[in-house]
Amino acid sequence: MDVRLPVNFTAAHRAAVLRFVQGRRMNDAQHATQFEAFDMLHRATVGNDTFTTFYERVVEEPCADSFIAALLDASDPEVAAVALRREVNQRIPALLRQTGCLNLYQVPQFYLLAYCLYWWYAFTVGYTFEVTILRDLTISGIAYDAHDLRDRQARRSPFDLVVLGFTGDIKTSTYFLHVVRSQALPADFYITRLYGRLGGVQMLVVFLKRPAWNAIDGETLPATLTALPSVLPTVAEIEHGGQALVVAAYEDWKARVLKCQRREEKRE
Amino acid sequence: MSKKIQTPEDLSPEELEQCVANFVARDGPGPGDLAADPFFALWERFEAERREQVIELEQDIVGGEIVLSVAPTSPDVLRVERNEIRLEDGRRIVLRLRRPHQQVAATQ
Repeated sequence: MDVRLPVNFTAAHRAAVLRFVQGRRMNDAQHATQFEAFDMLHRATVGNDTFTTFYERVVEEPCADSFIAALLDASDPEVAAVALRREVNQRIPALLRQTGCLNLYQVPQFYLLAYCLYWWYAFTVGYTFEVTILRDLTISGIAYDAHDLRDRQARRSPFDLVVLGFTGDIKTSTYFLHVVRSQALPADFYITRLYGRLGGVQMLVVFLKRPAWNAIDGETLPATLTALPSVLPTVAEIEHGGQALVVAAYEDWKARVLKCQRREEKRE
Repeated sequence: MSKKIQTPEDLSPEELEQCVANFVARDGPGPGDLAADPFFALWERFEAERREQVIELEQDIVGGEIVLSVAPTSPDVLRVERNEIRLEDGRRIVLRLRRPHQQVAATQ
């Protein structure tokens, strides 16, 4: 199988791919190069496919439905995801060999294998997070409409859920940055997860466009992106791509949404 | 002297196979979640890159009409269809050639 990498795929990008597979720690600059490398590999080709179309056909299509179904049936999606992901990770080299890629551990086919491992990991972590958040919203009593995760077409809908008439997406922080890097933010709000500096404490954060925030109201503190880690969980306001984005802690956002929905219920 | 960075090209097939086996065994760390500091620092960096981005378009005239395309050297961040540029917020910029009689009228 003939694999062609983008012409401007540099030694730094190649090193970033290896660093990902080796699981080595990265500084900010190396993280940025890794994002760029895996974005660029979308345009690499294998035979008549791009890496993207090849990955979707050979890895995601045969593995996604059963992964998501098992996740939805699991009592603890986060725990179940590890074994489910590993089972597919082990199969990926065999799935690629079936298409005629017989030199996976040699360059350039190794880049195709690394690409598939990266995006399968992103897919599984992303849907695990989404299932976890949707369950939490249900338990918290938030009214929302979500796409049917068991349905492949529905999964491709532009937004994951609608709350108070606003469109939302649930994204891991890494995937969120892939979106930020390549396009403007199309949804009205984004739920994402970060880790704090001390002891890796999980931080759930919601980014909202102004109209989505105005609907639930509240004070905000102007901030810059780099100052946000020290400002949170205070509700802050930043500028992104020329528009205001409000940043709130997930629990705070949920409490405000719930209050708003109860008020609306009483009115009805 | 700068240290040479290691790329997959520097490793033998056996070493690369071992890397993948280790990756599967440890289940990452992969593209899951980031700590807040690098997350916001990277976002800021991508914003700065975006502000400095120049997107070059190329124009052909086909059948008397403008046909645009994004230059191969430019980032693939803009949707272009024939004579239309589709902005990320949904708006469209449409380019039209001025016909000779329009040019005359405009100068009168």
